[in-house]
Amino acid sequence: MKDIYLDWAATSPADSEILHKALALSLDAYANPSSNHWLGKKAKKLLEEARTEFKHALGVEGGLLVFTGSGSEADHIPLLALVDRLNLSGTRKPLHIVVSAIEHSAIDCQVRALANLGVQVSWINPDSRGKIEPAKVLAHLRKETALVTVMGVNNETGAVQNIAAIGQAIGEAALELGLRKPWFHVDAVQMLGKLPMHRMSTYVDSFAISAHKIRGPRGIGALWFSRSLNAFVCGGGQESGIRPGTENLFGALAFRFAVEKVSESLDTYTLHARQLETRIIEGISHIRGAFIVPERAPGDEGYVPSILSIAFPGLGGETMVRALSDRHIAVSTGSACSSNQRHRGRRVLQAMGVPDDIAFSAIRVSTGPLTTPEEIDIFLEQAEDLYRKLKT
Amino acid sequence: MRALFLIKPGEIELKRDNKREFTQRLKDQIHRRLKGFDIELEEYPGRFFLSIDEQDSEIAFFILQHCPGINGVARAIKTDKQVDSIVQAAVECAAVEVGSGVHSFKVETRRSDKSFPLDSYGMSAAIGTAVQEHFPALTVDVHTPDFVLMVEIRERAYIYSATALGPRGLPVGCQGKGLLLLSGGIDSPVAGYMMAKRGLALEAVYFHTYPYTSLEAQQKVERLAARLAIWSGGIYLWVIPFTEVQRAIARGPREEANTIMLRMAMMQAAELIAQTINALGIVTGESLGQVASQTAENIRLSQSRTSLPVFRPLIGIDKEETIATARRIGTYEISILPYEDCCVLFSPKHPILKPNFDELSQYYISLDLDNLILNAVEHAEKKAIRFTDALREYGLDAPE
Repeated sequence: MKDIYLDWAATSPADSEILHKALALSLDAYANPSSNHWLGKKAKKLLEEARTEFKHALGVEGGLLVFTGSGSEADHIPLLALVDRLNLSGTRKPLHIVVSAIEHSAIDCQVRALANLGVQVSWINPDSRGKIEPAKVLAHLRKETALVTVMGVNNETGAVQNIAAIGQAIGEAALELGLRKPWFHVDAVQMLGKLPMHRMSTYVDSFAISAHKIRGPRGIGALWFSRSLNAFVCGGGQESGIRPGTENLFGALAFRFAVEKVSESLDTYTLHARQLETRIIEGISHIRGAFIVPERAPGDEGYVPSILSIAFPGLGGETMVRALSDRHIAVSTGSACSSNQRHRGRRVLQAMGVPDDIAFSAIRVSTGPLTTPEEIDIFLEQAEDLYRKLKT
Repeated sequence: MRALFLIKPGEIELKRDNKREFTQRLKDQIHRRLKGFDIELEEYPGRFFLSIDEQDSEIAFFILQHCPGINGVARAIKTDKQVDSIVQAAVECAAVEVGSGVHSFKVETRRSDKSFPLDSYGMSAAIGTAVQEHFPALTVDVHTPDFVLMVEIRERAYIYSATALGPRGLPVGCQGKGLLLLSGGIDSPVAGYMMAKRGLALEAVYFHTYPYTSLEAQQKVERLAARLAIWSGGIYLWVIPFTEVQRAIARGPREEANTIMLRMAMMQAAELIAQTINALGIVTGESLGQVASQTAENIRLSQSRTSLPVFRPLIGIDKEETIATARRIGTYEISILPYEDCCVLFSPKHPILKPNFDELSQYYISLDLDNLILNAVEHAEKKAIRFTDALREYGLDAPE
């Protein structure tokens, strides 16, 4: 039986050509990029080239791009930068942050940790379509608001947030009310390779991305930010002092090549993903009882085409995942990062007001550039068969 | 070098007519659990003495402390019945204790050999004096000593100090065999432990409902069975594929009765397994009123599906106490691993708490589950979890 991989939002199969190219270069430039000898300088040059070309490929102007160990780590940096401003002695003004209720655990969990340290948090629930309305964000801004964070593309529903509108609204509101403009951070991990990123630098203060979602290696992420940031973790001053630790030249090079490849192919990828999306949505509409959560039509630009949640009412999502797995079809229930947590919930769908029994019956299907229409057909056929057999 | 353990059997000492049999059971249990080790086991009135190679003494000590029927175990020194030898051994024994930073002690002598020249008091006094000469910092405290030097003068003289508690109870098997309904939860392993301690040999059933429950859930139950096996001395685990039975119940018109119907079906399946293995009773972890299926009315319904006695050692025990026991016997940390054993979609939102017995019995019959249950039992997989598997689960190397 052929393996069918429909879990690209969890991670993507690495592109061996990219990895080999990066490996050869980094094996040759083996010295520490921070060393002052010619070998160090050689490595440094490659690293800085990678950084420049990376930004160029993304189309992002200005600001700083630092390489991190993961997307999660990149998300943590702007959040932990707040610790420095915390009111631990009780003498300063309280800190406040605004965060969407559908963030990845990397943000969600770190925000809860900050809340335990005394940061005040406003959680913004999405509407039933999984969207965060800019007006809702504005309604929660206060003069103590230090940070707003909203993810670019949701990892379970594929919902695309209107980052431009939210960013613009925050800026205007701050100006109008005479407030210091809060830092606007975007978790763009699921956005990279699916949507153009070049306008991000206009509206946000920072965004986080990760290489392994776009066929790069694990262990390398990046944070772009527009203005100076307090470093929470101190060390050898690498990566502008924001992310200490000897630079991962191999990772940076591979990430650069992966970003270049997706940027060049973005239109092709999107078209391909739209075709697969249409096939999935139409196919699911023929399976009695099953539906997409939230319901959407093929081609809806409010969602990336490659991520869909599908409910099979009366059958637990985990059961469907197991049964499909036995037939060599890999899908997941929501985020792979939360499916090994103790208290499993379907946080994202529940925040959208999806009833528990529907939320728990949902699986996430995510496609990638290597996914074929035939694979989608097999998935649909098997899912229908299993649903008929296992539904209670 | 050989190590010597003094073993204090517990409740069997109180028996009369069946004392011989129970004693033999305990000896068999000790032999079985220490199979592969070079041991000598001697039996005297009220005491067993086990000698084993020094290198195996740690594992033997662990095994003996987990063997039902044993009240206490101590490393002991054996000498001939000469006052000088006994005193010397007592000083050696005290030296070990002094190494662990104690300040006070007392001596207790038991003299079952009444021909011994010193009486108990005289022997204790002689030892006390000698120990204090060797360790001047030690004081005698007869009320709350840091350690007690025990001297038993019987066929030979035995000297020991630290006594580890055994599980007490009766040797496994002296009350026949029971079949435990083992889930992945906290209660059922504790129930199994408690009945093993009452002398019941155990086999267990686990109802597997793949793909509604995961293979990880089954592996968790296997680990629980292995933890339990350290007390019961090995266990057979019957894994019964129950998916079709559960689906048939879920197809029935009365969703609110699903849970109790499932309990009844499990009891009926357990009865069939119990017959094939000659089990004398079924063991469950039920505690009155703890969950919906454990009300008196619901227990009556599940009970009605078997003619065997159902042992429910936790019936009057609250959850906190059960958790404390689970922690102590080593099953809690496995039980709380996150693989749920029942699918949320099968559980009714509002299960029946006070069912009408006749009506629900009729409903159960109307579901026509007999063939499905029979089929499930016929396809059960019997897994042997040996005592050596239990040792490995505790990170100990068992002999091949």
